[in-house]
Amino acid sequence: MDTSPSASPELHVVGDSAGWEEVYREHVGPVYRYVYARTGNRADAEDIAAQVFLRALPRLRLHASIGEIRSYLMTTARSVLAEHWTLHYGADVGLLDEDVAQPEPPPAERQDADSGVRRTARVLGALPDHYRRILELRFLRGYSVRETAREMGITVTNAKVMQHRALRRAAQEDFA
Amino acid sequence: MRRRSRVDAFLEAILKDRRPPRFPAEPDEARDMLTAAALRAGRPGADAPRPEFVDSLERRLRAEMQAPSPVHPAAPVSRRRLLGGAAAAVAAAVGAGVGIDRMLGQRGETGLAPQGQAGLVPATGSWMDVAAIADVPVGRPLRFSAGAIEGYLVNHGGSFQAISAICTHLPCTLRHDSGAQQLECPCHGATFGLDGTSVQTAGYPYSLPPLPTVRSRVVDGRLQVFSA
Repeated sequence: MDTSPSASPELHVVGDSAGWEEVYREHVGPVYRYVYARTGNRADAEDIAAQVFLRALPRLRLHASIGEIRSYLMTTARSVLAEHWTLHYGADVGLLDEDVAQPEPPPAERQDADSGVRRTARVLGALPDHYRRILELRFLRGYSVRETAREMGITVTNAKVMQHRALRRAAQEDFA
Repeated sequence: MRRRSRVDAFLEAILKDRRPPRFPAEPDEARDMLTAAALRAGRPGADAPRPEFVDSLERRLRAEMQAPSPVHPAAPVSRRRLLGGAAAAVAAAVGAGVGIDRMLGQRGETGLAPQGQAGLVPATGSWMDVAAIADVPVGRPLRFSAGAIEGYLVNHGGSFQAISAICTHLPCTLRHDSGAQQLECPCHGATFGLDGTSVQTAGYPYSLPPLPTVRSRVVDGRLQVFSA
């Protein structure tokens, strides 16, 4: 792998007992966030994030820059997520490519900018009001279907149908 | 209705932050599910790891880093057997052109052979069972040892390929780099793609012959390779 031309600070030696712990503490948050946004639940996110570090940390090279380490971890995360979605849902791994599969690692700020909040705002912002509203109530505020129906002044049946359509439309925006 | 209800079950589970049910999803369902997962992550602070998780994973990693173990603890293979068997077979196949065979178009067999890639076919071999298809997910090549041949099984999006695990420079056994998704030689740093072709890197700027392919096929959900 080419070293990044930017003068990113060198991270400490991995394999040296102090080094990997620093790498882990530095990156566990971003890796977990990345994985959570592609699993949506804690149990799977924790399992997958653990696999990412268990797989990647012993292989990290000495003297890698922070950017290289982040990129390596994110690539490993994508690979473990792809296995998860293929194995459990038979899903096309290309679905995970919407933002990661770049040959050069985006700088850390860009990875963070693609956090769940940003992506959610982008997707919801593109929807008609009633679709945005029902997805906000259900997925961001955690209302039940019944509570959502009451809040929006519609029947439970209509709320179910609307949620289905709104999610389908949001997915179209997400994977456009 | 059945389709809708299984996606609904997935959604209800992630709304409770619980592990969702598994099922073969249609592409449009998988997109809905991934978008729903992203929406759940959009709650401020919802996608931060639990401190208990961060600590317990750190303990696991510490144990792992202190006692590194091979990813695939395969049956023990002596160094002598490795060098005498697989490497010699590879050298014979590549160097003398013995047993060179095109893989493409052979009925019932798997594998994609890049142009110029030699096939490693023992003169007197047999099909050997090496793994279940499920053991070889995309992105995680499986290292196998089958008689005279040391190799990797690779899943190219549902199409399987077996390639030699021996570097075409000198007979060192390649390692899988799961991050870069490449096979790397621990001896001099030569690198190969998962299709067996030589990849030039800053650390090893030379082009090598591709890794020979090994005949492979799927029988009743299990992968077999032709070896001696």
